[in-house]
Amino acid sequence: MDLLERYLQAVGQFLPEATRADTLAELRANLLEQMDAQAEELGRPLNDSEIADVLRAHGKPEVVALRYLPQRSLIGPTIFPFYLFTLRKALPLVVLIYAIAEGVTIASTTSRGDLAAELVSAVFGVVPSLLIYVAVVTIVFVIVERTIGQSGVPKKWMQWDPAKLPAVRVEATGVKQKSIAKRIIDLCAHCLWMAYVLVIPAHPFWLIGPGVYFVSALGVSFAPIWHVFYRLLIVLLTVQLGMKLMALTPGVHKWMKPLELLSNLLGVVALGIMAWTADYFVPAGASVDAQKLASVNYGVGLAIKIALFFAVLGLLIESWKYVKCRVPAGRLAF
Amino acid sequence: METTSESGIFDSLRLELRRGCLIVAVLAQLRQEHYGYTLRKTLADEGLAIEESTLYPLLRRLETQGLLTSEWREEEKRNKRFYRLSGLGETTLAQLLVEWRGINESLDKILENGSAR
Repeated sequence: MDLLERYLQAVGQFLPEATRADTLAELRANLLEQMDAQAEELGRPLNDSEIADVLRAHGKPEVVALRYLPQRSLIGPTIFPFYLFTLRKALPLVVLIYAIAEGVTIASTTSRGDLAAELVSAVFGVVPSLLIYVAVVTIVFVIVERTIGQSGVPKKWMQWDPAKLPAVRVEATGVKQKSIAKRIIDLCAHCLWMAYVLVIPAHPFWLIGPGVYFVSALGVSFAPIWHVFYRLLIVLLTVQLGMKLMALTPGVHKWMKPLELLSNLLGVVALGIMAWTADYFVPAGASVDAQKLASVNYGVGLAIKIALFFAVLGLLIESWKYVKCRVPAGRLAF
Repeated sequence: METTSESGIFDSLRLELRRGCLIVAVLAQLRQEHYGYTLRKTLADEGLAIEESTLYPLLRRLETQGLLTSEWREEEKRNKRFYRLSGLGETTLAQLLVEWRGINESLDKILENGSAR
């Protein structure tokens, strides 16, 4: 019976002290009874291997012990929908408060030179802030679960008025709202992308890699047009950041597609300005190989024109899809 | 041919279907006094097999809810915990049986109507 005692000891490790002895005594009595019945059938006492079979069939000690414990989840199924609802509803507000607080701090304390670094820090700071938000809401709901969860959801939480339901939204074909998780991932990815763009002026290696050494060896520097392009890009990214924050609010997704098209148009304008110019790199000193510089400028110009072509094509296709969904088919017939 | 996924869905639905029925069966069987092992054996003999690791914690839970009472007693030189339906358990069982019979009748009607079409 050594095996049975070892089994009970293993089960007991996971049981609360207050009920351990009682539970184990009952378990011992039931298992012994089962073994006795089996021994009676066989007409001899069970050997160790047969005892092990009985215990194996009864279940793994930690699993058996867990079944004796009260509810183990932090938030039970009754309260969970309210927890999820609160998390989703308050999320845009939290992001907005964070953005305002960071914006005010940066505007009031940061000198012009530190702006990029402060923006990068603010963008990265949103992740721990969101984690703290989730943790606080979870703790509150764990307390709610422990205090009122057992007696059921308060009646007040379940009261609602059908008359206050929003009107039926007419969804345009192809304009389907992304899930909240996808929208948050989208926002985080955009924040990371913005942070990357903001650190590029200080670390050009991150943009063109070893090309930095080539440009330096060539004795050239970036033409002023890049500064114009960079500013336009920052404006574009800021507009997109605003859109992605707005997208967290329910009911605004019908405005998202036109805003997206507008921001794409801004991107096309930026690329168009770049494509219009001829000089992307200018001599930084006297000893510059003019022929090499001309071929570099030609190559960069060609790449930008190709990018512009695809950007315009993409914009036209997206605009056509958007218009097609909204205008009745008859009116689109030429 | 039955796929693993189909079998998984069936197992999960079967578990759900059995869960409530087992509680009713346990309560009904405990109108007579039993200890864990004999209760399990009796239910199995009636065609309702239930794992020990499911039944014993269930008995504890039902006792905590006030539906069962229990007492330790020596029988055949061994201390055993005997369970029996409490007053609240009897009332609850009666209510559950009314509910269960209602569901059964409705289900029978639905199935009859379905096969008649």
